[in-house]
Amino acid sequence: MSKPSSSRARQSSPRSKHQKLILVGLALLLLFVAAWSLTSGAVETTASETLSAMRGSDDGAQAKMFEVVVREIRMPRVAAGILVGAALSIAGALLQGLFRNPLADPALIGVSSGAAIGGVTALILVPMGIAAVATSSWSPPDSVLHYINLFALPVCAMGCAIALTFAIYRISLVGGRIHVPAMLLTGIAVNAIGGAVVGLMLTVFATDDQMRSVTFWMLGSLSGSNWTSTGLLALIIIPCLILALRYDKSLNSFLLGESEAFHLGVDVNRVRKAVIILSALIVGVTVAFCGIIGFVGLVVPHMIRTLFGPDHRLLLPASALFGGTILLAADVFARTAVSPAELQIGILTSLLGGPFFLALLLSSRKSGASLVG
Amino acid sequence: MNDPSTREILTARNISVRVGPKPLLKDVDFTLLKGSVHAIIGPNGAGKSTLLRVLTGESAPATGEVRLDNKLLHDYPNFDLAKRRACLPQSSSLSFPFTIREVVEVGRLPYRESNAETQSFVESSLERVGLLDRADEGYLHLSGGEKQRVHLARVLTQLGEPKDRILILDEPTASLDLTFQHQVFAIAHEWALQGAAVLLVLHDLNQTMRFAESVTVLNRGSVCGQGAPIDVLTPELIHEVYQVHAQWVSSGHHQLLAVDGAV
Repeated sequence: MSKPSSSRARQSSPRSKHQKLILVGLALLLLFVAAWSLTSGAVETTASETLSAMRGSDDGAQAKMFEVVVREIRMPRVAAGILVGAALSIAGALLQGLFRNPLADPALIGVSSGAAIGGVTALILVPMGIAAVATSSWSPPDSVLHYINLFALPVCAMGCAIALTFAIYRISLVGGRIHVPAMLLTGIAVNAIGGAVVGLMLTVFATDDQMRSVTFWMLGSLSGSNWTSTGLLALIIIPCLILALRYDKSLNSFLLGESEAFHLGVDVNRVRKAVIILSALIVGVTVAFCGIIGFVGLVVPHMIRTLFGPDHRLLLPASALFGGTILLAADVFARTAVSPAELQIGILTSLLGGPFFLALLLSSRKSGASLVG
Repeated sequence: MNDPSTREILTARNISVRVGPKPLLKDVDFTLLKGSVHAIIGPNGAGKSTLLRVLTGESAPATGEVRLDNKLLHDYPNFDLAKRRACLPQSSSLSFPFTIREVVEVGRLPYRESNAETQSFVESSLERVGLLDRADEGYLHLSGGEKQRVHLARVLTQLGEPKDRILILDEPTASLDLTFQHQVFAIAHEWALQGAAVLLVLHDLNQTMRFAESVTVLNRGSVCGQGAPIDVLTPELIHEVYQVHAQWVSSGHHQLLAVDGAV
C-alpha cells in the first residue's frame, strides 16, 4: 500500500523474527538429537554406517543386519519418539491454557488414565469378542477382523480420554472459574479408578501374555514401535498439532478467564471443546501405542515458558519441537543406560519429572505466587 | 446530538432472568446513551452482575431483548461485538508470567493488524493509565491495584477509540487507592466526552453522585429508581434499598452522603 505502512510493518518484524529464530534453533536441535538417536543403541553403528543403512546401498551380512536395525527398529522408533514427545508437550500446553494453570499435565489430571481405561478394555475385550465371533456361524473376512484389532485400541483409548477430559473440566469448574484443588483431586481420583479398572481387567480376564503387555504399557515405552503403529500415530497427531496451533491467540485470552475471553470476542464454547478434543485425541493415541508417559506435558511447556514467556503463539510450536527433542533424548538414555536391557521410558520421565513437579510447587510457595490457590 | 433517541446505543427491554424458580431480574428496562456516564448501583445480590452479563451478551435473558445500535446483540459476530464494547472485570486471576505489555496486547485479539499498529494502541493506553515506562515488567509481581490498571489499559486497547464504543467497568475502584480511583473516573469522563457510552457498576453512592450523569438502582432484581442521581438517590430511596437513614450534605460543589446508621 503506502510507504509509511510498509515501513511500520518492517518495524514490527523483530518480534516475529525473534520467534522464528527460536523455532529454527529448536528444529535444528531436534534434528541433531534424532541423528544421535539413530546411531545409538544396543548394536553399535557409526554415523556413516547408519547413513548407508538408511539408504540401503551396502552389501554384506553386517550391512544387512545394520539395515534391519536402523530401518525397521530405530527409524520408526525415532519417528514415534518425536511424535509422542511433541504430542504430549502440546497436549500439556493446551490443557494448561484451558485450565489456566501450569500444573495441568495430561497424566496428572487423569486424561492419560482415561485413555488407559479405554485402551485396556479394548485390549482385553476385543480379542474375546473376536474369538466369540470366530466360533459362531457368521464369520467376517479376516481383513475386517485385522482392522478391528488394529483400530479398537486407539479408538477406545481416544474416546475414553475425550469423555473423561470433559468430565474433569466440568468438575474443576466452580462458579465459572477453574478450582485448581478440585482439578488436582479429580486427577487423583481418576488415576486411582484407572489403576483399579486396569488391575481388575487384568486379574479377571487377562492371559499371561496380555498381562505382560498391559504392565509394560502402563509404564510407558517406545519399544513396541513399528512402521504401522508410527503411521497411525502420525495420522492422528500431525493433523491435531496443526489444528492446535490455530488456537494460540484464543488460549492467550483464556488465561485471563473465560468471561474475559468472551468479552474479547472468542467463541469460548467452541475453543473449549476443540482444545479438549484435540488434547484428548493426541493423549489417547499416544497412550494406545506407547502407554502412559508422565510429566513430559508438564516439564516441556514449563521450560519453554521460563525461557521464552507464556505467549501461546510461540509456546505451542516451541513445545512441540522441544518435546520431541526431550523424549528422544530420554529414549536414547532408556535404551543405552542398562544395555542390553531397556529402561521403561515412563519410569524415566516420572523419575525426573516427579522431583521437577515438587520443585515447581516449592518455588511457587516461596515466591508467593500460589499455583494451587 | 442532544436528542436522546439519537444518542441511544445500548437498549434492554423487559429483561427477566431466572435460575430455577428464583427470579434474578424482573422486567428490567435499561438504556445507555453515547457521551454519558451511567452507573448501576444496588446492594449485594440485587442482580447487578446478572444484568451486566445480559448487557454484554454473556448470558441470554429468559425474556426480553438487548439491542446495540438497534440490532440484536445476538446478531453481532463475536469480533464485531468485541470491537464495540469492552468490560473490565472486578478482578482477574492470571497466573502466568506475562509482561504488562503482553497482557495489554491481548486486547487487540479481535483485530487483524500489524504488530506496529497493535503497539501504538498498547502504548497509548499504557500511557493513559501511567504504566508505559513499566511496560516490560512482569505482571505477576504487581500489586492488586496495579494489576487492575493493567486490565483497564487492556480494555481501552480493545476498544481503540472512544467514539461509539461501550466501556463497562465493574466496580473499577475496589482495589485502587484514592489517586487511581480518580484517575479511573477521569478516564471514564474523558471517554464519555469523546463519544463513548460508559457504564459503571458502583457501590459507593458518593462516587455515583459525583461521577455519573444517570443511575439505575437495582433492588431484589427490579429497577427501583432510574434517572439523574440528584433526583433518584433520595434519602427515602436509600432507606428503602439499604435500610439506613442518610442525607445529603453540601460540601463546596459536592454532595456528600451522611449516614446515620442502621435502623
